[in-house]
Amino acid sequence: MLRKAAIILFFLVPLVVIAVFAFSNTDINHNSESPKIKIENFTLTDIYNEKHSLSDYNDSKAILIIFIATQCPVSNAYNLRMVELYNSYEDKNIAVLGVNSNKEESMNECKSHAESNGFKFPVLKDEKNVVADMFEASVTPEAYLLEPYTYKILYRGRIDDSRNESNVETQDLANALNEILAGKKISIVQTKAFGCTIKRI
Amino acid sequence: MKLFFSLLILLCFSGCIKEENEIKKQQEQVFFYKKEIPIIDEIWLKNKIAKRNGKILFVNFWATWCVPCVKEFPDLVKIYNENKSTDFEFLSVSVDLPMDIETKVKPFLAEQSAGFPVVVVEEKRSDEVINLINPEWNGAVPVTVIYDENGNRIEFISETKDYKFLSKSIERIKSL
Repeated sequence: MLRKAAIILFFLVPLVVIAVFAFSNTDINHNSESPKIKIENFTLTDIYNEKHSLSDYNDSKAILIIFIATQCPVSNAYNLRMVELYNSYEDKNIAVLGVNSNKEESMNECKSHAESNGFKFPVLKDEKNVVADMFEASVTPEAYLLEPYTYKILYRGRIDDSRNESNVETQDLANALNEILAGKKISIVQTKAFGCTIKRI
Repeated sequence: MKLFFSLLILLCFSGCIKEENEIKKQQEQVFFYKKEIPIIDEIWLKNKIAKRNGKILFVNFWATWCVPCVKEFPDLVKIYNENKSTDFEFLSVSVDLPMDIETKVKPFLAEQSAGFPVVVVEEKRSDEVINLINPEWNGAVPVTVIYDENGNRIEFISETKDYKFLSKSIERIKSL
C-alpha cells in the first residue's frame, strides 16, 4: 500500500510542479524572450545604387539593422542618435545598416533625407518589403541586432526609452551592443515603443 | 409691411440665437479639454479593461504625429457619437508625449469636436502597455481594440479602417 502511494507520488509530484509552473506564470516577461524569427541572407540596394548583402558583414561582431522612415516624426527624432550610435560603434566592428521599407518614401527621398541628416551608414531601400516581411517589422524606428553568419536576432526593439533625448534613462540598444562587445549575455533582448506603421506596397 | 419687418426681425433674432448656441457648443467642447487628460500606465488600463459594467470597450491608440490616425479620427468621432448612449464605452489613448498634451493633443481634439474621454500613455510605460494590449503588437499606431462586456479582447485592428468596418465590428460584438 505504502509502495503504491510512493509510486503515485513519484509520478504525480513532477506533473503538479510542471502544471503549476506552466499555468501560474501568466505575466510573461517578454523582455527576456528571444524573438523567434528566421532571418536569412538578403541583398538590397543602397541610396547610391550599391548592393549590400548581410553576408558582406559576417566579419563584424554584430550587425545592427534599423528600420527607419523619412516622414515619421518618431524615427526622425532619432536621426542624430543614430548618427551617434554609428560613430560610437562602427570602429568597434559593429556593422550598421538603415533600411527603409515605406512604399511612399522613394529612393531619392531616402537619399536626400540621409544626406541632410548626416547618415554615414548605408541606407538600403526595401522596395518590395521583402526584408520588412522577413523581419516581421511593422514599426519605425525599430532596431535589430543580428549575430553574424547565423543571423540570429540578439536584440529587437527601441533605441532607448524616450523620443525626447533629454528624458532618456535607459539606452536599451547601446546596452545590448556593450554586452555583445564585452562577451556577455544580452540581459534585455526585446523592447517595444510606439512608432509609425511601415506602409507596405 | 409691418408684418414683413416683424418677420425679418424674428428671422434675424432666431439666427442670432442659433449662432449663439453654436458658439456655446464650441465653448463647451473646448472647456471639456481644458480638463486634465490623465497620463496612464498599464495598471490603469488593465483596470479599465476589467471594469466593464456590462459595456463593451472600444479603445483607439493614436497620435497627433501619425498621419493615418489623423485621417481616421472623424470616423471615430462619428462612432462615439452614435454609440455613446448604448452599452458602449469609448476610450481614446494618445501616445503623444505627455509634454504635448496642451500644445498638440487638446487643440487637435477641439478641432475634431471630439467629446470622448482621452488619456495619454506615460512614455516610460509604453513597453508594458503594448504587451498588455497584445504581446504580438510592435507598437505601430493606429490600433483599435474592442473588448466584449467581460473584458475579453475580440478585435485587434492594426490598420486604418473606415466607419463602416468599425460599425460592423461593434454591432457584431454587441450581439455576442
